[in-house]
Amino acid sequence: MADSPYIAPALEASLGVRRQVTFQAMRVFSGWGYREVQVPLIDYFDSLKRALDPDATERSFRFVDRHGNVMILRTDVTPSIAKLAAYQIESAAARLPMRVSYANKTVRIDRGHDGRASETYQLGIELIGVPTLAGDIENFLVALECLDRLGLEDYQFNVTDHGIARHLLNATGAPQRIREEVHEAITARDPTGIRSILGELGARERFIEAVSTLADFEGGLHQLSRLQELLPDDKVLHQRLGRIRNLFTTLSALGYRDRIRIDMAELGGASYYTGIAFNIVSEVAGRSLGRGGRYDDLLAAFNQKQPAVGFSLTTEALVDALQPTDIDMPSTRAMSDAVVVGESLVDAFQEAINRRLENRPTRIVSERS
Amino acid sequence: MTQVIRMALPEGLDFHAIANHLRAAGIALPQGGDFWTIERPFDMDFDLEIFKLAPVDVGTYVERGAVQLGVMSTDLLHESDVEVWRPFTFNFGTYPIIFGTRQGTTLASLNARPQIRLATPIPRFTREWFATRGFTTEILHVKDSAEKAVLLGLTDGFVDRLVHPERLIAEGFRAVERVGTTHLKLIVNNATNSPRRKFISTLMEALENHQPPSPNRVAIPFDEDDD
Repeated sequence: MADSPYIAPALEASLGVRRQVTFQAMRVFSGWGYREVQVPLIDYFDSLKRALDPDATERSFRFVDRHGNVMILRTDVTPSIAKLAAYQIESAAARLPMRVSYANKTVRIDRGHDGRASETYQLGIELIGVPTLAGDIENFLVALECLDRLGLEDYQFNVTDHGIARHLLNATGAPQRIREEVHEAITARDPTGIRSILGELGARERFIEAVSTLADFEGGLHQLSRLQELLPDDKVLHQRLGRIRNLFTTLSALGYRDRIRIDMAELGGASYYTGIAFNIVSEVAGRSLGRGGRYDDLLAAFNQKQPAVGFSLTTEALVDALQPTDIDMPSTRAMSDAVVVGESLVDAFQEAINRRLENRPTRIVSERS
Repeated sequence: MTQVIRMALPEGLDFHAIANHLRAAGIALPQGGDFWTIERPFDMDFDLEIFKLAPVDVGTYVERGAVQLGVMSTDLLHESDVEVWRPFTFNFGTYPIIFGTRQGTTLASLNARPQIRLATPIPRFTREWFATRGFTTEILHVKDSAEKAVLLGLTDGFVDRLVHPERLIAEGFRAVERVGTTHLKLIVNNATNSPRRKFISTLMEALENHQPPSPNRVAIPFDEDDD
């Protein structure tokens, strides 16, 4: 079989686990009142690009259809859902708040030398129209229940606020290009790099220190106190710090203290996040299982100013993090399932039909094999 | 219960300097071999397993969590585009990256050509740098010495780290321009949890407190051919 650069085949064992993961996750989403939607894999680039950042655009597959339209294979489900929700709100087809869930494929060009495409399956929810902390907490709780129900033991939510980082970076007075460099240094936990870039720019020391605090390697609640100490008169900052503290206190009181870690440098992922956000990591898988957070400006790209939160999990990463025994997989190879096809095709296949009518597992085996 | 942290060190150029710095910081790394286990360094509940890997592979192992810690240069980090944390910079392992060519080939003569061909082990960086420099370039990825590609007539020039300036001149090459600088970083898997982060913080503090004297920076031996 020729190797295809664009297709990631999933064989029986992997596909079975993926289906179980999807089924269990969708059951949790439905239990919280989220209704499943499916958005197109192929969309008009012109309409979707308003919601894509340069990285998502660069890593997207685009092509011209037979009518001359530039089309895009979606790289992320959330912008497509934002577009769908905006159109539904505009046409009064949806009532707020909207709770939607999905299990959809995404295609993007891989990072790294070879620039191949990779297909992934994202599972997730979007809650549209809730501006309060209650929306953020609901978002966390659905994700937490989902991972618990899947039987995952090793995972942690690294929690940040993109709004705080953006606010502090703007306060340094750095131009956009430098802010991007500093942003990258924060996510890499590189305080030396931050001091060097902002120092050369001549930014004020307390802002340099505040931005470096975001990049603290260990993370923790002390980052919030330190920021408050450094900028005691910044009301916007204090309001945001109060909100993330409140989230931490509430989730701790609900029994999730060990699952949540304040980690202000966790600013990776899509650039549409505007507020509290999280990255779910697993040491067993050695990677991120999914991301989520508040994105209050994304629907505005489709002319609807509505607050929103959501998260998505990557099925392949979940499968990586789960041990094979965590998922109860039915055996597909038991000898008792076999129906042997001999001389009489009718007899054999009648037996197979009868077994299937009783919902019994059935496997056709040729006598000669 | 004692847990394990794995660390990958790059073979080659900077290996001995890294190993010596680790020893100075309290990691009792024996001489010789490719794999070592250091029991409970800093009296913490972790054993440190240290491996040697090809420099370009370190990022991949760390990104996917097969090892939690590694040492990698920023040019290779950029090239492999791995998503890892890089919380500590070593004060050695800093080299200029140069655009070099044969002695007698000037910037003007290169500029006059319709297209120049370059060999480099870091094609992504090279492509980005030349994209805005007014040359039409064909960039060839070579893993071995980029200078050899020029000697054998494969390319007109090369982009690579400059480690031995005297050798550059002795072998008949010249530096046309500095195109960047590479630094050596401690890199960490970005799914690392609290207890391991604490250990790594302790390690970084020890490395910081036992920095070896800064080596002299490599000076680029520019000539006056382009003046």
